[in-house]
Amino acid sequence: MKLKIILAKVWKSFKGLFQMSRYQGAIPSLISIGFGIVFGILTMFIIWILALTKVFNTTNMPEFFYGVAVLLAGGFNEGMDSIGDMLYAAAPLILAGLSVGFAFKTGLFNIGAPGQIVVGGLTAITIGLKITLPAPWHWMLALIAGVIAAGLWGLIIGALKALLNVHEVVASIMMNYISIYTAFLIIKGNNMVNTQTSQTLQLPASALLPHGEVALFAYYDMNIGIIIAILAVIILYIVLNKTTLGYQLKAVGFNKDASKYAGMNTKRNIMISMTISGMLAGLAGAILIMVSGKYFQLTKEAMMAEVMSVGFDGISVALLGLSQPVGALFAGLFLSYIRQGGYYLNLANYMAEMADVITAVIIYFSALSTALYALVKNRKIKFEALKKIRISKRKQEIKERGEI
Amino acid sequence: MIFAVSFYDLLGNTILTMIPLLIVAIGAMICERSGVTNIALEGIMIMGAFVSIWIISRLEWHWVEGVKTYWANTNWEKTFLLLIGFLIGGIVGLLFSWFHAYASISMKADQTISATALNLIAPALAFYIARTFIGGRQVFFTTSFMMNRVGFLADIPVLGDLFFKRVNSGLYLGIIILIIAYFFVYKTREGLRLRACGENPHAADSLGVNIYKVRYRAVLISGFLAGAGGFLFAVSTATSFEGTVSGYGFLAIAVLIFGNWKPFRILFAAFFFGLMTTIGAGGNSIDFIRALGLPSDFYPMVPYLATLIVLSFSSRSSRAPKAAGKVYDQGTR
Repeated sequence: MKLKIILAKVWKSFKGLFQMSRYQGAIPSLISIGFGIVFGILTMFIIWILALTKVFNTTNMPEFFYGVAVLLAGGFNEGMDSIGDMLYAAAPLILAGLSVGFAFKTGLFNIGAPGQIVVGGLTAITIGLKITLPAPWHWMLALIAGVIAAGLWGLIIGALKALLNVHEVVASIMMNYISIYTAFLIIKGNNMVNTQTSQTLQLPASALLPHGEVALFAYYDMNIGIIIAILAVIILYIVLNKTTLGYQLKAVGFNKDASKYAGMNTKRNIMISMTISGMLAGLAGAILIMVSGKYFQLTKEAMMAEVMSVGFDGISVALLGLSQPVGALFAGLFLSYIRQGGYYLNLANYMAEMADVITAVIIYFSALSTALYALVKNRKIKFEALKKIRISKRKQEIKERGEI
Repeated sequence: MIFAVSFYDLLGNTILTMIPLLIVAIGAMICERSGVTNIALEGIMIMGAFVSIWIISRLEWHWVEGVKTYWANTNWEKTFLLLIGFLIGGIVGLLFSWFHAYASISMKADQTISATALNLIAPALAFYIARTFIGGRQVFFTTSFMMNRVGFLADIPVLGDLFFKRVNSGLYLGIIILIIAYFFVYKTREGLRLRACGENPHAADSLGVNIYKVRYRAVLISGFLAGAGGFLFAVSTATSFEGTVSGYGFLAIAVLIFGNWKPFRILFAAFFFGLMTTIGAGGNSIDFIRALGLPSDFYPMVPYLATLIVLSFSSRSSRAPKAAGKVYDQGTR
């Protein structure tokens, strides 16, 4: 009996997957993706024309048609190999996007995700280098420690906001910089640095995420990052949509005063949501760094370009995914896809930064697109109303003629 | 006497750091006072700095060469070039900030999203253009905009050492902008309207103020100042520009909030931050700080830590403009 009910529920939700109305929320994102790619292709076209007409001189002539093909092929350029690359790069992006998106949902702008990523990575490195444990426990401990440390780092921002009314954007930015130098202090203080290359030491094999040559991905060295990311998406979806805590956090995001009036502890909720957001970012940082051949480079510029940029990409992912967990999954995959396309653009003598330009344009249009979409919808409604009036008028006319 | 030298050094470097911050933060203040949050300052600064530095580097090569023999590296030549760069940076910033204004005011988009998009597009575009047309990520220029002494004014006992020796003309521009901004916001009719838009746009609208126009103007002004501030940042730190303003746009927002949305408190906040940055950067060269024997990576952290601590004590009483960050829609009353 119970089984039947459960089966019915599963069937219903499965059928729900194929109802188009469920995906209406994604339409603005899709529109803006279209605009972004068109913009990118136009820019490439203009550069091609400029180069053809010798407005500027290059030794490497850009090849327009090849470039467009490469860009659009994105993560599929080299078959399974680049798909593996794409999934590998997508995992931290998805997690960072989840972190920022979750904070958005609760009415906070967590621009501190980059700092939390640094802290997560730092803790994972410290655990990995300073503790010796057998394989499965070692990386699990490093991962969990990274998550907890970054959660506490986020809690600091949340507490400053809730208790002392410090604007979370400013606190986050300050904490980002503090995190970099804290990382340097700890890494140098504990002799975890290779003095010749000024990188952190290589993590032992037991502290790396489980990875292996997967036949499916053309023997590409895959790790379980993407699986962890998908699990995080599912958990976050359940927390946000099916639990009281999630409901409370969202309520605080919608209207702080109303939720306070309804008896919710808004201060506690702000702290909780910043902690969870920090934990997700910390997970991203740990996954980013627990890979063979990945280091912290101990200069501010390198940290910003290689580690913290993931956190800033998280903002794009969250915005493109409309702050939804599932949205972040697809947005992260898409961002990673278009980055792969940008990477291969070098072959066509275009610069890889094209992918970043396209992403930024997409974000801009996604800001506009909700408005654009509403505009189109209103037009449609108006148009249909006008049509109805016209038809009824015509019917009346015909009737009148008939009567005559 | 050793102390005296390092004291002037300290203040000189402080002024150098604080001026771009001050100018950008004042732009941000005007913008937020009208009710639009502008976290796109970072991107606008990058764009303004990139284009103006690019043009300045060309001007140095082709055009000033001839003039140089006449002016022969005088302060006037530097000031003139700086002014050109300032204006170009400002105009580029103004044009670039129009995207933010259009999205957040006309299209009623989320202000955070459109601003973030600008922050993303600026460095990407700067890198892309630089690599395609210049052939590398960096844009170099040769003029050093630092003036060793400013005529007879440098002979005034204390002030001369502080304000008329080893400064760039940005200092004077910054002070002028601060004063103009103060009078604009508090002493003119436009300023009153601006403040009304940020506090209660519906009330202002009912009295016949065109909210959209006022906000557009405010965003464009902040764009101008941010672009120009980006240029000043680039010329006061190095002799090349590489698609980054090291987070100064975000820091300007911190300065704005620290300064409680008021011009002269912003001046103080910028000074405080500049001082802390200088102490952080020069850490080991100042005697009483070296005596503490801290590890060298601690010093760069000082400005951020200090700001955070000061903010956590002063934020309880801080009050943002009420309508800041909210989309204005005439239909929702």
